[in-house]
Amino acid sequence: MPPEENGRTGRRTFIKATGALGLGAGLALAGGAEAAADTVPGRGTASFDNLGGGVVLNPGGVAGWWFDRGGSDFGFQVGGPNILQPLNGVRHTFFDAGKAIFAGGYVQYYVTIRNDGSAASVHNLEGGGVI
Amino acid sequence: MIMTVVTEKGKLQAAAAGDVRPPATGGKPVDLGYFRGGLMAGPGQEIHVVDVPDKFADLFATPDELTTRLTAILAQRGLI
Repeated sequence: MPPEENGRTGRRTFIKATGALGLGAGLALAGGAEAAADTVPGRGTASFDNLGGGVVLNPGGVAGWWFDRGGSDFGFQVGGPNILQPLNGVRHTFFDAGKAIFAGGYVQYYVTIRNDGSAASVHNLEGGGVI
Repeated sequence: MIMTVVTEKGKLQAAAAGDVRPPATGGKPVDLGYFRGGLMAGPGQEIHVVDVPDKFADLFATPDELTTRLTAILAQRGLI
């Protein structure tokens, strides 16, 4: 699948939507979307964008995210809110970044996001690792 | 369509299309070549996968309208 240009950030990402979902305002949310990461040869993952389908978050609402690449360990990774709607300065706070390694070696990453605005919003994840 | 919803103390917190709960973590690690992600329940929260009308999210102009309608559906089903 060819890379798509993210019009807001200019970064190239791969979006593989498994169930496109749109809001009437024209915002397309990709349910179950998967985002490929930019990588630095020999150094691993540098960043990712548009990770996951859009999450609708009520004002004051808190959403816990998990993310992984199938269980392989990519070192330190952190995700934060990629705010999709509304683009009016509403703040999303992210906290409780975490990582777990399970008995079989499966690695998963976590972050929690809170909508500090006064209206419901839509976001997915952007982030990356320290290399 | 199905949606994954997170509730806390009788209130809708978050919702996403599809079943985006965490995958099983007992298997052998692989590299899918891309990151994937979704929702999970935090402390004091519950996570549910619910059936809603097809193209449910396409019916609303704003996220507020969607959460208002989804809250009503969850209340009807006794989930909040």
